[in-house]
Amino acid sequence: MASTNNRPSYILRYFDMIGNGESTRLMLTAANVEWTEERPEWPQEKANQPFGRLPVLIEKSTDGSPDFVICESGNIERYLGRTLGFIPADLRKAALQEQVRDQTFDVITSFAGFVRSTSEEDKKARLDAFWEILDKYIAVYSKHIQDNGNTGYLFGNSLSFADITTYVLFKNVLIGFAKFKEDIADYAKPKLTPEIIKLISTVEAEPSISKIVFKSGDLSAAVKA
Amino acid sequence: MASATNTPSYILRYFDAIGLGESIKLLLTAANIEWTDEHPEWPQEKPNQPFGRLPVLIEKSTDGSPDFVICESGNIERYLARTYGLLPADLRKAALQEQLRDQMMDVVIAFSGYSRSISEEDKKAKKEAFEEIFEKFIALLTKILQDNGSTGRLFGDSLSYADISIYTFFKNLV
Repeated sequence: MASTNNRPSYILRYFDMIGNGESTRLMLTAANVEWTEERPEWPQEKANQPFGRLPVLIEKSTDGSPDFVICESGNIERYLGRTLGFIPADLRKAALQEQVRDQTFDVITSFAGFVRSTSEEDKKARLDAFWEILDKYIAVYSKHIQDNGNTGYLFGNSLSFADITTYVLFKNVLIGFAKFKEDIADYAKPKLTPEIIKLISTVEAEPSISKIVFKSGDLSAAVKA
Repeated sequence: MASATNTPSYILRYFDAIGLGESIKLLLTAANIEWTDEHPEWPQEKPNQPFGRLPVLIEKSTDGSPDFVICESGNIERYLARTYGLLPADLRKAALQEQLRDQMMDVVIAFSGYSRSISEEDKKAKKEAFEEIFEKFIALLTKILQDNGSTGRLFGDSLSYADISIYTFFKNLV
């Protein structure tokens, strides 16, 4: 699918879920580049992926050069973040944002550990660990939002890589994870601070992503309900 | 600890272990800059860290500006590798190296899931999951090394961020 204006176009290969694909969807949409999504049959298509996992990003050039294919969600997000301008060029500023993403990944991975456990004692231990790290994340980033003038942005005054990853974390916790733990929102909602709620509504009000942001659910509504 | 030459100096706060600190030490050393490490009392010092975890990197400038403090091991590694030229400036080339480090972490996470398991059923399932991803990773690394001419380097012909990450992975393993 060649782009008409010489910018590359993209294919995101992922599952039909928020998980580790949503930040990529939001950045591709906000940047107004051409992109589509493939939902491979799973696990039949596992062997056809570079590392047997999803997401995979395919960047298709317009000059006939071979597709550029990468995997690992953080790697994909940082590549797009830099290429499309959501991550600052300044290395220190970039590191402060990438750190946020790595921490959201720690929280999501912690929940994945719970999902993959089978015995009751393992489930309990992993769930406790998840709540502990989520609490820490909420405390650290609520303060960050306050220190940044309580505008609902983590850095500066426009949508950043860090804002997107934070929004997606809470979308996973309050909506996506319900598939694995039905009552998770009952426990998670009371933990949300006004600062986190403000970030969520700020991101959902962003015009550049309005086309798709509600496809995976209305998070502002979910936190009020 | 001011540097004599106006380049920053660094403090790495981590445990006295290989773990997720070793690649950082190798990067700091390869970059030929001043650095020291701190081994905080643990868990007493947990609340004094930005996110309650280690490693933490402190970059001390020479011009009196405040310390620059970051955490998350991958983030620290990428910051140092980009600053000191061990990751290519070209975004695509960098992504191919960063990808390997992330895949390595998937293997580490799988191992950590196995080692934390309490029940026998979880231990068994997680051991199998770890072995599967570990074998996949070895096959992937072997192919990359072969495709790069079997020189012992993963990319190009000089020490890269990817080489350091993967070396550390095996050092942790043995």
